[in-house]
Amino acid sequence: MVETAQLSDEQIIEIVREKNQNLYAEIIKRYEAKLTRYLRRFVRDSDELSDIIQDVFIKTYQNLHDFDINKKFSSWIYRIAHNEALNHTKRNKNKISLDEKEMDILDESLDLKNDTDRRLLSVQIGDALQKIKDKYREAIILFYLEEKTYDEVSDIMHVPRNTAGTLISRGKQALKKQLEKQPYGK
Amino acid sequence: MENNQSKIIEEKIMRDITTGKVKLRSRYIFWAQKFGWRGALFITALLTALFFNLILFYLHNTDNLWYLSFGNRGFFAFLESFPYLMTIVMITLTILTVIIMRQLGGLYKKPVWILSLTTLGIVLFSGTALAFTSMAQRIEKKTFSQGHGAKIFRPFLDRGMKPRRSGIAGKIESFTPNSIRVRTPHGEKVIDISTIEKNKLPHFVQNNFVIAVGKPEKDVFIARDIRILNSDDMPMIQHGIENRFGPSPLPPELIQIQNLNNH
Repeated sequence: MVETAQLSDEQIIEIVREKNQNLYAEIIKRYEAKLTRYLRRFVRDSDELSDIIQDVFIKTYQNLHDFDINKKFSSWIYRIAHNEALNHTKRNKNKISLDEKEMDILDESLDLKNDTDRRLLSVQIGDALQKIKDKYREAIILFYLEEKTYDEVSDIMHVPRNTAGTLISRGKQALKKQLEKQPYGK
Repeated sequence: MENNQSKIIEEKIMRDITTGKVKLRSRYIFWAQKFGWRGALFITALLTALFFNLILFYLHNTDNLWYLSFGNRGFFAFLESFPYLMTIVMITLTILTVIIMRQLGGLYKKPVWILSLTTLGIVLFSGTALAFTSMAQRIEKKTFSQGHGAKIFRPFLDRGMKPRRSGIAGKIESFTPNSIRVRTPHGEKVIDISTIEKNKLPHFVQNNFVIAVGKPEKDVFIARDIRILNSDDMPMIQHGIENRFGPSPLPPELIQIQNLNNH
């Protein structure tokens, strides 16, 4: 008997679809924390966040037969979460919140070099992320904060690989521009 | 705290699944969706090719391109007779085809320009291949026939028969040194040729096809340039004239041959 932990996501999905729906719990275990972290950037209210996460897992389960087993499951489930996040940001314009580690990643990638209060910087980056175009924000979050590759960003956002690269680099520029408009500490 | 929340979510979802409240959607629904998209892609690609073929047919069978042979003078008549509606529909269908292609499989990964070029290539190839069939001719025939026919194409092909302000094309009914009476798909018209230098006028013969550029003035079309064409240079104009005035009489040579055969 093969250990569940040794099975790939795609193998688990095949089993869930054909034989054992209980194995879907393993998928929830593997992705719950990741998706919570990802979606928290768009949804601040914890009750709403938990509802959206449930919706993502339910939609994923209902549409399992639509998943192409030869592709990467993580990109597919992130795509569903991405759509839910987009729907949510269209309805609500919440501020994006970043934790210390995420702020460091963005700070480093944007090369901000400043001595301003870290907490203030976190708020400023969150504000600036909120002000740039949705497509740039999505690409920046997926690439820098979720550490997805260009290919995965392309799969999640349903854009060509080169376009994903362009979105990331333009998003970076837009974010920098936005931060220059609001100098730290002012 | 967070672990508790995760456990609650997991338990709730798994309870919904095991009790059957949340079910897997049938694989056949997704197959149907995929077939639906493929069917839509096939239909839009086919229609795009058909419209491209009809545009080629229109350009080849009407007076449109002939106006360009007059140089600058014929440019407005060319613009006036250009099949805009068909071109807009073809471009829209091409865009629609690319959009549908992006919905299929992993094609969203391909840059839009590659998909557009591929679509354009397929359309150009199949549209040109269709030109070797008589499909466009049959569509034209049915469109302008009296009974039930492919009337759906009338708004697209109708432009070929419409009167133009800067040009005219028709069949010579009679002529004088200063004017020609021509039959056009929209009735009999008089072309005033008095403003054209006599040495530049071609030799007119009854039943010849002529095309002219100029401007209308009251009931007369004042020609600035005119030339003679063969009857098969503008078949659609000829069909329009036949639809309005009845079938053309056979040329004298053919009548002689027919008489000889009868004897």
